[in-house]
Amino acid sequence: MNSAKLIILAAACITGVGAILGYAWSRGRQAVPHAPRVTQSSQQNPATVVTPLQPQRQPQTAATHVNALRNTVRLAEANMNVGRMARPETTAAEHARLEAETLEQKLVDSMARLTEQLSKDPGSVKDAIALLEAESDPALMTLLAQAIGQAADAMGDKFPYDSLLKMALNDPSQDKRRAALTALGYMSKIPTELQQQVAEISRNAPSNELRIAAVECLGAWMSKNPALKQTISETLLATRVANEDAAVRGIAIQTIGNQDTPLSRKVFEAMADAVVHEVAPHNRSLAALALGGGVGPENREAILSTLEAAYLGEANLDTQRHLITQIAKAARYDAEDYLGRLPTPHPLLAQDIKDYVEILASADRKDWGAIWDQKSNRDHERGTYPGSHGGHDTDDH
Amino acid sequence: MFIRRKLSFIPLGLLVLLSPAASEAGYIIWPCSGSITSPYGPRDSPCSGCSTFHYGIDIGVGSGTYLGAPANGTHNSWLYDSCGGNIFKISYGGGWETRFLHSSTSLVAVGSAVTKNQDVARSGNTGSCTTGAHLHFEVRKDGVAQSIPGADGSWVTRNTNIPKDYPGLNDPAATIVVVDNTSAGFSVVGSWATGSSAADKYGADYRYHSTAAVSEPASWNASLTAGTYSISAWWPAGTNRSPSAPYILPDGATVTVNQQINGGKWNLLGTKSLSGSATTKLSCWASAGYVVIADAIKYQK
Repeated sequence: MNSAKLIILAAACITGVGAILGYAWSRGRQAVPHAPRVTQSSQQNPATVVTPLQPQRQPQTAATHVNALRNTVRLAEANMNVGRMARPETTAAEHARLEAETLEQKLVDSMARLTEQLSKDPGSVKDAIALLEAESDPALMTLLAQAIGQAADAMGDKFPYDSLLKMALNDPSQDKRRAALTALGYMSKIPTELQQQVAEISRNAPSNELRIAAVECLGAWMSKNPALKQTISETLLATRVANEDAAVRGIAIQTIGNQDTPLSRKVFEAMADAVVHEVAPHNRSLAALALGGGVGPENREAILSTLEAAYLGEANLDTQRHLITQIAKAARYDAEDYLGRLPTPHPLLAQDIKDYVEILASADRKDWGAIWDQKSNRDHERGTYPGSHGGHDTDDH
Repeated sequence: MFIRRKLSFIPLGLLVLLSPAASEAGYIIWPCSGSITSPYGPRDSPCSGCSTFHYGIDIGVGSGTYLGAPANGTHNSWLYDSCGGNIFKISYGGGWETRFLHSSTSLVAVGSAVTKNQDVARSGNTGSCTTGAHLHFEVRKDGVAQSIPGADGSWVTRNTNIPKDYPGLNDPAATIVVVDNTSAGFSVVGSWATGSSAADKYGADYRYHSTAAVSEPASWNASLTAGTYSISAWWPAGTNRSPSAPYILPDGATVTVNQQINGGKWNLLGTKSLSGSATTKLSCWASAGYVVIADAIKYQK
């Protein structure tokens, strides 16, 4: 939908004619669901010319599916604007909502077809990467990157990661560089050189957004490759040290913490430092999470001592509460001993300790998830879920 | 009034592709389509009581938009908060949970298993910490907020992956099977009455039988892939219930529970290695003068 049409439609909605127009527009669209569209970006770049969808019997290419995706994304965006401008509870609003559902399904369908195409025909992955290079819509870049990434396992060593790495390193568009990192994150088999280059992006990229995307790519690799957990954890320690921005540091800590793997001495020492010295309270909470989830037979006592010392020195109430949770998680089988000796300068801290002692008394202590669920539900029911105001936390207590 | 059209465009052959593959282990999906109006991270507080650090992501959608479950899990809380409004929470095990704030409507009962992309709630503008209808979406582990990628103004699409791996949240090997007393896997021997008056029941109703020295059990059967499962029972509590209701687990072990308390939630009966057909039974053979309640059983891998 071009802007003039959108403005006319919006004005019509506001003046009360929108219901009729919206319905007519919707019906008209259904009558010609795959009408050719010429867009601004397609005029700028011949590689992205939008063509009508071919009948099913014609050969399907990556470009066909990407064009279908592009059409649907744009229609969905335009429809969302119509829906938001329509008065609530009107026919126009309801039609916009139903249209949104239809477009969502078409989009998922297009994604599935594109993913299938790329997995079946490795040659088309290079075409898809070329389309990603030529793309200007960030929403489409992300979808295209995911489809490309999901073909990685099917292609194995033939997956052209070097093109994506080049894009991640050098493309003038930050959005495209992030999309390339998203695609790379789907890979299971990670060459050492690629790992090193993405680690470098996480430390020295020109924007924090790009550094975060690189950290998330490294995190995805850790999840799929248990053998890489140690190496990448240590890489992320360097990322934390190299970045002054709290968000990048926090996501590096979070990525280590989410692995739930016993921490090596080096990683433990870094998280012990982070749980005390990170400036942002949320980052200290994330470090506590890393410590609580990183308990193994060799480091249990060291981790519990660290969490306890951090609690005694912590001034932020939310972080204190997260530290109590991680002490309960790490101690688990004799948590009562550790929890019982913590001072409780705030009633919520006393409540948290009381909750854990009560829950642990009848819980299967192997099942941390069930223990947390009980604690979480108690806090929900009382309105004391970590962070004030139902989860819209404030850092200043 | 309006017919829902989920999956209507997806050819059967493609459904396999949409289920979690090995390469998608930690990826969850966006619960709705729309533009991000406030990303995760530091921000200027947009309203009185709102935070300076945004521990979720706001997606601009109108009231009444259907919200899909980001992954397979269990809906375990639906409560009103003065600031966050109606909060819809899903648990995924291992300390992982997601929350939808400011919702208008819940579409599933508390305690229900939900599947990835199932419509579970509708968006709204509830609570005081909102400046218009939107979805505030959070991912948390042990209560600690996790980052969610997405720049201000960027478009996201429901049922497509959030481009970030949350290890353990979307475990493709995880299985939750709930057999309610209305499910196909439920059966009884003898005469079990149907009740529906208890507020803390699972689903629409439940079955009950007076305690007596007769072999007339209720059974919950499920077909399971091989693995270690926690087996939990749900009953509506009451003073006339048996204080020693005997559940018989698939391996023949008997676990007695007090159905006078702990109603309206999942209560762990045990953890067993199961494969194929698995049946948990509730016997009415217990001290006379009470009833035993057969409501729902959950098998969770």
